[in-house]
Amino acid sequence: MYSEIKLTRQKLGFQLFGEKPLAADGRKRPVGDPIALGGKYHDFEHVFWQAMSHHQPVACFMSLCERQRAAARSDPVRFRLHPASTVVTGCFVNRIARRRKYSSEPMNKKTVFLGIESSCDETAAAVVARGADGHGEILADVVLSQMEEHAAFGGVVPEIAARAHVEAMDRLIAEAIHQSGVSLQDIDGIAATIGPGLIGGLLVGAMSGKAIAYASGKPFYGVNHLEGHALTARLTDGVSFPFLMLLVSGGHTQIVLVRGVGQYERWGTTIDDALGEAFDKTAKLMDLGYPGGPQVEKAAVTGNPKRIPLPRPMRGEARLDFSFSGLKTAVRQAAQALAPLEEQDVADLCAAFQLAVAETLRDRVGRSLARFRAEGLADEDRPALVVAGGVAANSAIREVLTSLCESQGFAFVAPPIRLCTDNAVMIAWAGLEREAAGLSANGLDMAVRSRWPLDAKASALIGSGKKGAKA
Amino acid sequence: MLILALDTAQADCAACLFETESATVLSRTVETIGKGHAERLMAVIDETLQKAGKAPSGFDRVAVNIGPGSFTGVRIGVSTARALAVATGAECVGVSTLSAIGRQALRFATGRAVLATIDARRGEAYAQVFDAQGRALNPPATYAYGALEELLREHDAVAFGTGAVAAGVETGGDVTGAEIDSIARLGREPMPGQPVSPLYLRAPDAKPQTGFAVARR
Repeated sequence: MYSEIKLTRQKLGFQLFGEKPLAADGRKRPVGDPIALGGKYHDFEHVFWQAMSHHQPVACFMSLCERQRAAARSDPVRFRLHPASTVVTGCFVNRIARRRKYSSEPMNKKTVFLGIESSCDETAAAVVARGADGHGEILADVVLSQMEEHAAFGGVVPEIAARAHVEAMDRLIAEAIHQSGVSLQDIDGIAATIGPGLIGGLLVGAMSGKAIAYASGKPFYGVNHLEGHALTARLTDGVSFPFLMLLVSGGHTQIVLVRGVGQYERWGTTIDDALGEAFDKTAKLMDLGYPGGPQVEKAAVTGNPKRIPLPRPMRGEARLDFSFSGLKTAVRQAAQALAPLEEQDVADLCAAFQLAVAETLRDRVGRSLARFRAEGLADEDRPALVVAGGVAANSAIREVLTSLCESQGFAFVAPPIRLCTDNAVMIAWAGLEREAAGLSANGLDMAVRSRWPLDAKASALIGSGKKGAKA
Repeated sequence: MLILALDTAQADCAACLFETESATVLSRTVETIGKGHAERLMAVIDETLQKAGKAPSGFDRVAVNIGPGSFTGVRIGVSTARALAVATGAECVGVSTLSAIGRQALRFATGRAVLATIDARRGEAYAQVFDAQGRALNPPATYAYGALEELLREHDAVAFGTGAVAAGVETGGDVTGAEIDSIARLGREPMPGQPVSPLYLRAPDAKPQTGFAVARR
């Protein structure tokens, strides 16, 4: 039975790729022919899917997928895929073209990892390949956002998040593997976020990763979510060590020196609220909707940033830390003094808040860049400042960072927004980087951690309770 | 068919391998740990499969306890079961703690209906009524302690489980929780194909914050 199917597959393969002489030496032409190379199963997987599946609709589904991919290629901004009722956006690459590339480089053996992310309000799975030369390739990237579930609450509710993760995770993993064109057998390792984040969500991702690793006999890597953010720029821009990272998200505000895989030095962190949280609270205060960042930015466009004076927290201090709770309070007090708010008041408040944030970042990041130079860390002419986290989407902040980097001779590296916010590509990539760096895989008894500072030696500034340092 | 049963919804972290043709449990691992299920579960599964001489993918169906129970515990089990199904191609089905308790109560052969209960704390119990053949007579739900007596009268049932004990209702025998063997045996019944979801029976503890925003004109 099995050999019959295999024969049919080969016939189909020949029909698809044309009958070419089987080269005894793989390096001789036609090398591009996957059959000549002895091929891996996934070379023909789109053919296999029909043969192996017990379900008739698969063929239709396959052509639907191809049409969706074509749509994604022509208009990636508008493209949306709806396998469930919630929005799924996918980063689709031409599978056929990729497959040819994959098989025509036999000397550059690629390692392929499945990545799983569920630490906050995004359920995500991805498949990423890494060549021996360190070059990475995203084979599949699926993210399901829970924004709608949390919108009514103006913030992420942990129990709601955990409930949404468990309903979606297995489907997303299957979808990512399917999209990647690689079979589970050909995946070399499983990487899942095991902290820091919301325990309920982390457990769902970690258990899914462990179960798949166990059943398929692959190594399991428990990845620090922050390490994922830190290493993303090496996948997207090939940034070399050492570099400086500014992580600005709803949960974190940190300046981290990235010396190498697993070698991180925290230079600054927030002593109270994260920057993204300050954006969300400002939006909530003026009833602008959730998530707050884009809403505040939109409202600020027509505002006068000079009308309402707001503090520039920590500006001028030698330590590189941040503080946003005082700024948040100042916005509230200014808003209450003006209440009831006119449209213009809202715009002015948002503009003033955004300016205060931008100027604070200019000071904090500027000092960090100067320290980077002063410590003689820069091997190359233009060392990189890498930005990560959802707040990196704010154009006012980007502008400040770009000009700052220009004036101080740094390269400003901002991965695509999709890879700045939470995603599983960065988790798969962090796993690949750890493996390539010779760091060993983790046991399946690994525990998830709600708190897990990237820099284990840095002292805790906030939230150091019985569970340890927060960030 | 070989069924791998998993239970992390209660104090136990448990797995067993059940063969349907002979209706026998081939191997079983039960660790009563209270917490830390996420760290132990894969080892418990591995031990169970190894004792039966099976490979890590050596089963045709995964049956998992979907609760009600610890929300976190239930999610550990359900996400593991669903991911195992993705990796191995096995079927995945859910079994509720209440149906397992209902089945176990039949051993006491009262000949009457069974009210299966689990203490939900906060003065409430998760409960469901089964007839003497083990068929469900109502959907599982959350009841105030005080409402259990009426449920018993209505169905002329005998109460079992921790909910009844906490409510001070007389029980027909000592059934403290779902046993892994019951999860496996009941795992034969459900039709696969539907996504296996946790049975929480209680909404998330969250409500929209009011009065935060400043007045707007």
